[in-house]
Amino acid sequence: MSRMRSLVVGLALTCAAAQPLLAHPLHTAMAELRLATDGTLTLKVRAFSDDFSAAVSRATRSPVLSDYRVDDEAVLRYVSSTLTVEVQGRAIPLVLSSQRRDGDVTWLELRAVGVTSLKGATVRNGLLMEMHADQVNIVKAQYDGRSFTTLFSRADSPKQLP
Amino acid sequence: MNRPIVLSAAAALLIAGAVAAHSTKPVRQAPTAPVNPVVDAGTRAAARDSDIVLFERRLVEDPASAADRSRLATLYLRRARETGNFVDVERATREARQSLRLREGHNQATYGILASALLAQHDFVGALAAARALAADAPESAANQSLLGEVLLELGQYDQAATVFTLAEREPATLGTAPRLARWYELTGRMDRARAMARYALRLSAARDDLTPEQHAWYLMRTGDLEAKHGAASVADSLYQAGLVVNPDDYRLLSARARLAASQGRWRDVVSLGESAISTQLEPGTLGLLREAWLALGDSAQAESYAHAMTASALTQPGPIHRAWGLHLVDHGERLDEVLSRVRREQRTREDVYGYDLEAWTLHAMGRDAEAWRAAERAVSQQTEDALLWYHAGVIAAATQRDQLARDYLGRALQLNPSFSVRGVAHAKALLSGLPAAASSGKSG
Repeated sequence: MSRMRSLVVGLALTCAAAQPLLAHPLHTAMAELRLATDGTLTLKVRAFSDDFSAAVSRATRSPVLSDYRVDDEAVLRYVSSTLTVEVQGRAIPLVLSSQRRDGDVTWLELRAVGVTSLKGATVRNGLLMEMHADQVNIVKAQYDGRSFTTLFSRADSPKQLP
Repeated sequence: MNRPIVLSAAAALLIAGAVAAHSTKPVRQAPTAPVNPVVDAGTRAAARDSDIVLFERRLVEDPASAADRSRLATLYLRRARETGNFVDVERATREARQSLRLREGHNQATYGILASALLAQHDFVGALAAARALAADAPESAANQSLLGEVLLELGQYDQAATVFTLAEREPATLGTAPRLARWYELTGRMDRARAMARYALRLSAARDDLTPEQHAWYLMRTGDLEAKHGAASVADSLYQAGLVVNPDDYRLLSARARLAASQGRWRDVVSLGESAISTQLEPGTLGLLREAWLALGDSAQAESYAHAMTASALTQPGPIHRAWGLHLVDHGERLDEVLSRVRREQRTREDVYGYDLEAWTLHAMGRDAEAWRAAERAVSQQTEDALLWYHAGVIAAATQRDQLARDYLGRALQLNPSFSVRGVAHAKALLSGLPAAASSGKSG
């Protein structure tokens, strides 16, 4: 991801700290496409809230609300311009069905109906690429009983699903 | 996802028991009665996040609370481990430093948090200073000594690490010391002791009901990693799978399974597991595995997209190169100058065996075998029982006409782990069969 209660905090001093965490920060945003047999296309997007809200705000000139929230309409405009799915050369119009926070992460769910197949569709996930030159995004597509994953960096054109 | 973990604890126990039963050496008895609360992962994560929000708010009201900053740093580190969010590591570092600025007395444990956060950022020198401060405060603490030892191992300061681990070793092993002792044994050529200690840590962890699923999974993974290095692939995979029952979608375990599959040439499994792993966390080593798998499967376009992703991300970052990705590049003869430059830059402060291995392998790929040999000798200087190190050193020994050493090293690699790498094993065997008989060997080293 973009760099993507118990109050048992003393525990970490003894055992959690014994688990080395060697991190290499990579900027990434994930999009998962799933086509149901009834023609409903669901697109789930996961991105870190701080980066995502800043990107939406910059692209749509809309304010970042408290707790890194952004207006749904602005979210849809931003996502529609940076994350595209085209079937037979026609962009699939997506509707934002939910936006929720999970810790530092924002999850979006968008939907479209009447999609017959994703075979041969072209996709591009350009989320947050204007924010980070080293952004690498993932698209995971599930359709026709198969799963296909592909990556996008700044220079990449749309890619065709097999 | 979000399934109750009652089954997972049972699975962890079963595996811990199974591994202990296969142990060749007795390990000390650990209590066995793990009772984990039935709390799903989503609830646990939400609780963790609400704690973070709670402490963030408290610090707005009382920014001078060193204790709250320390607790918040701990929570950030926990979330970093569970989600892979690097920003949380940076936050933990900031809060730990601020906490120590506010108060050093009765706050020494925060040095441990700071050391862990700095380790995660590959700031080994900073981590060493923090670990030394912690150890100096309570030199009798085996946990503190072993944290210091862990940092010294990362820096390649093996003699100093031995001194502090020898102190830590005198006390009964705990969850805070056992994994670090295992790492010391692993790096210094005592794999059997490392495996026994890892199993012991696993049993200790299985008996704890206050660990998170991520923590339980980590102990399973570490034990599995050592089994994998020992060539016990099926035991390792069982441990990894148990970890995934405990902590579904754990990207570290998925990556570990992908590595294991790659070593056995199960390329479809590598793709499936690796893609699941990067869905949670994009990690350079896993990207390298995926590229390798797609190449093996004949899909050059997919392989290229993974190579391209790495070029666009990890290689543009300052700091040390990711070791696994560096080896991957060298295996493909790519960016050798850059890899060498970055590993040598890192060696100014960090002289561990894996850095020397990467340097040696890169120099060999560049045809600079005399220099490669000097680095290879240092890479195997600790007698680390990692087949890959001995394979690389053996290849370089052969290239420099040290035939007897080449035979010894390549033979040792195959003996340590007969399936350490599909390509490496085939190459080692071919080299061995082509070496002249022992009587007519060249340089002895």
